[in-house]
Amino acid sequence: MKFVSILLTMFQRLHGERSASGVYHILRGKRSGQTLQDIENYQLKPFYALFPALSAADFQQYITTMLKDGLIQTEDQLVFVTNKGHNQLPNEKWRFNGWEYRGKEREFIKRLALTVQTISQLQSGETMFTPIQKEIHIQQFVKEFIRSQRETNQLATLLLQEMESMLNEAALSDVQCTILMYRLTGHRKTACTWDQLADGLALPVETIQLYFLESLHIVLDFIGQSEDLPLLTSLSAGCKVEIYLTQSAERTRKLFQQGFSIHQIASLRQLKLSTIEDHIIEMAANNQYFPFRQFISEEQIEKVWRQIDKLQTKRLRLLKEQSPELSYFELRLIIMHGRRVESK
Amino acid sequence: MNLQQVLHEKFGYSSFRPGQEDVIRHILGGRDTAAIFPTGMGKSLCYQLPAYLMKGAVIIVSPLVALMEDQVANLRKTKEKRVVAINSFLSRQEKDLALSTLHSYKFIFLSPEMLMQPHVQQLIEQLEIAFYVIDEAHCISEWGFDFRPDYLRMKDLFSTEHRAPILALTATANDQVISDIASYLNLRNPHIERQPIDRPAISYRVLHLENQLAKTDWIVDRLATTRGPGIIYVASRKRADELAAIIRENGIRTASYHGGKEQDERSIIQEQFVQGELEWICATNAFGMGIHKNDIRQIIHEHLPATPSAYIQEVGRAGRDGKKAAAILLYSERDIEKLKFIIYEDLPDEQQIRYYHTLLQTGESVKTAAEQAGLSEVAARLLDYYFEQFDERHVIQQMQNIIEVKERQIREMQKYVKSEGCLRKQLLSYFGEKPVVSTDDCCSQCAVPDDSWLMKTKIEENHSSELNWKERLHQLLG
Repeated sequence: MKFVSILLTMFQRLHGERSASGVYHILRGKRSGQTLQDIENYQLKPFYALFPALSAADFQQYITTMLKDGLIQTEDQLVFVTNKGHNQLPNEKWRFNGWEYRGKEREFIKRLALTVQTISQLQSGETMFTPIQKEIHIQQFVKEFIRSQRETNQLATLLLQEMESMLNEAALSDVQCTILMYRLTGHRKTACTWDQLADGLALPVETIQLYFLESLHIVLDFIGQSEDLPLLTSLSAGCKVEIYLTQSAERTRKLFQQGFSIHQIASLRQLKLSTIEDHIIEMAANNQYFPFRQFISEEQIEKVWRQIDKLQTKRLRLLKEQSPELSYFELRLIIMHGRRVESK
Repeated sequence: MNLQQVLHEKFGYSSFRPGQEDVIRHILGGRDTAAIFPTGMGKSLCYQLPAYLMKGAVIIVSPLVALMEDQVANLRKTKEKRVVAINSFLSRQEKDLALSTLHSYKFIFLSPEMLMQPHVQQLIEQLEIAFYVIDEAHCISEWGFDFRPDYLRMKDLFSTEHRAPILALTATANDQVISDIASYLNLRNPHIERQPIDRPAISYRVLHLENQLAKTDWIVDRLATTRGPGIIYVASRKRADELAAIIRENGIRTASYHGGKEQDERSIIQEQFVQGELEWICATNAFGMGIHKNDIRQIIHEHLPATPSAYIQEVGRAGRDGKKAAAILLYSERDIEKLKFIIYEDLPDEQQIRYYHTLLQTGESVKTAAEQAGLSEVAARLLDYYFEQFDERHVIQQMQNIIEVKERQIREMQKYVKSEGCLRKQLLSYFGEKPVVSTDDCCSQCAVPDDSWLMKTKIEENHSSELNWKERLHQLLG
C-alpha cells in the first residue's frame, strides 16, 4: 500500500475531469460544494479527509514525482492516468472510510493508547508516570473514562476481552493487528516508532502508516456495528461524524425545511445565491431523500444523462453547451441525482 | 514556618540544593529575585515551595508550551490539582473554561501572548497574587540566545507601584543579560542568586575533523566502542534522520528526534529513551527540554551551536546523577561559515526592512508583506515589535545591534573550538565564571581524555524479538 497508489486510484475514478488540486481538497476534507459533489459523483467518499494535515508542498511533491515517473499526465490542469499508471493500479481493495471519520479516527487511537498505558501502569502499582499523550483534552477524556469504570483489574480484564474480539473479528490483516498493538504503550513496554515497525515488518514506513490508518477505520466500523463492546464504544464516542453538514449549511437546511425558497434564504441570511446553492448541493449529497423534483424535472434529468452517456463526461462546461437553458446549479443537481439512480 | 518541614512534607526531599533556600526566603520576604541556576538544579522548587506558604496564586510566565506542560505535569505528580496552563494550544472552549475558573487555581501558567491580552490582564487584576514567576527570563534580552519579542512587551505590566514580587528564573545568563532582565522587568533592588554553571562531572572535548564524512565515521566508531545513553546534536532535521539511520545499520538502538515528527512519535521516542529502550538520540535542538533522565553519559555535537549559552545548556543534560559524563564537540573548518549562513538567513537586512516597512505602509497585511519581503516568521514578529516603538532608522540600527551580538557569540564559539588553553576555563569565562574545582578529567586540552570508564563492557546482543500481537496484548493488559 502506497500513497501514490491512493492518488492513482483517485485520479482514475475522476477519469481526467479534475485537476490535481481537486484531489488535494478531497484528501484534506474541504467542505465546499464542489468537493462534496466530486466525492459523490466519482465514488471517492472513502478517501474524503484521509489526511486533514497534508501540506500543499508535500502533495505537490508527490504529483511532481508521478508526472516524472510517467504515471499521470496533465492537459489544461486536468489529470489523466497514463497506460503505465493503469498498470500500476493496486489490486488490493481499500477499506478506508474517510467520509465517516474525517480525521477523528486518530482521536480514538490516542484515547485508547492513554487508557491502555494508564491501566497497565496502575496494575503494576505505578501511579506516577509520563503520559504518552500530551494533549489535555485526551488526558481529560481518559481520566473521566477511567473514573467512571470499576476497579482497575476488572477493567483490564474486560478491555482485554473486548480488544481480543475486536482484533480477531474485525477482519484486520495480521500485519494490521501487529501495527495496532505495537503502537500502544504499557508499563516498561513503550510503543514502537514507525522506523522500528518498518524494520520489524520489513515494510516501508509509509505503507505501515497507511495500514495503520485503514485499520482504524476498520476497527471503528466494527465497533459501531457491535453491541457487546461497551468499553470500546465509549472510547470511540464522537469519532464518527454525526452532523454531516457544515454549520452554515445546517442553518440553510432549517430554513429550507420551513419552506423558504433559495432566493428567500439568500436574502434572509444576506448571503450570495451561489453560497445557498452550494448548501443545497451539500444537503443533496448527504440526504438520500432529498427532494430533487423541487429543482429539476424528470425530462431535464433524462436529457442531461443522455448527454453524459453520449459524451462520456460529467464536465459541467461541456454539458452546459448542450443544454444552455439549464443553470450550473441545476446541472450539478442532475449529475448528483443520476449517480444515485445508477447505484440503486 | 519551618521550610525544611514543608520541603519534606510536600516534596519528599530531606535537604535543599545550593541556593534554593536563599531564593525562597527572599521571595517570602517580598523581594524581587533573579535566580540563575544551571538546568536540572532545582529551579522549579524555588517557586513551588513558597507558593504553599503564601496567600494567593502564583502566575508563571513561560515561553514554550512544551516547557509549560512539563512543569504542569510535574506539579500534578506531586498531587497538586490546582494547576492550569493557558496557551494557544487550548481550544476556545478550554480557554474560556480555564479563564472563568481562574480564582480556583494556585499555579497559573501563561504564555507571554496570553498574559498580554487585555481581558486576561483584567481577570488577573482581580486575583490575589502571591508573586510572579518569569521562566527562561533570558528570553527578554536581545543578548540572550533565544530572544523573544513577546517578552519585551511585558515590561509595562510590571511598572505599577504596588505589584507582587517577581521571581526571574534562568539557566544561563551573563552580566549583560542579568542587567537586561532587571531593567526590562522593572525589578526593584533585586536579590541575585547565582549558582555556578560549571559541572565538574562533565569533561569537555573538541575534536577537529576534516569534513562531515569524517565526523560520521568517527561517530559510528565511537558508538561501537563506548556506551550511552547519549544525545548527538546535529544541524538539521534531514541530517538527524540520515545519521540515525546510519547508526541503526550498525546495530545500535537509535532514533532521530526533531520538530518535524508528529507529536505521538516524539512522545514515544522520549519515553523509549527515558526507559533505556533507546541508547542514542540524533536530534536537532528541539530535543532535551523536559526530558527527565539522570544517567545521560555523552553529548556529542556534530555541528557548532550558535552561542555558548545554547552549548552549555545542551551539554548540561548529561550527568545529572553526578557521575562522569563527556561533552564532545566535533569541529571542521567550514562549520563557522555554515553557522553564519543559518543565522543570516533568518535575519532581515537593511533592504528587506525598508521594503517590508513600505509594504506595510501601503496597507499590505503583515503576512503578505513578510512573504514578499522574504522574511521568516520570527523576523517579521521581531520587526513588528520594533516598528511599534521606533522609526525606520532606529529599527535598522536595532537589527544591526542584534547582528553584532550574534557575531560576538559566534566569535565566542570560535574561541572555544580553537582554544589552546583549558576548554572549561574558556567556556566559563563567557559567563564570568571560573572552574570551581580542578578535576582530573577536565578537558581535551588539559589532558588526553581517559575513556576507560565509558568503554562498553559487554557486547550487546541484538535481540530483535519476533513481533507477536497476541502476546503483546496480554503483556499490556494481562
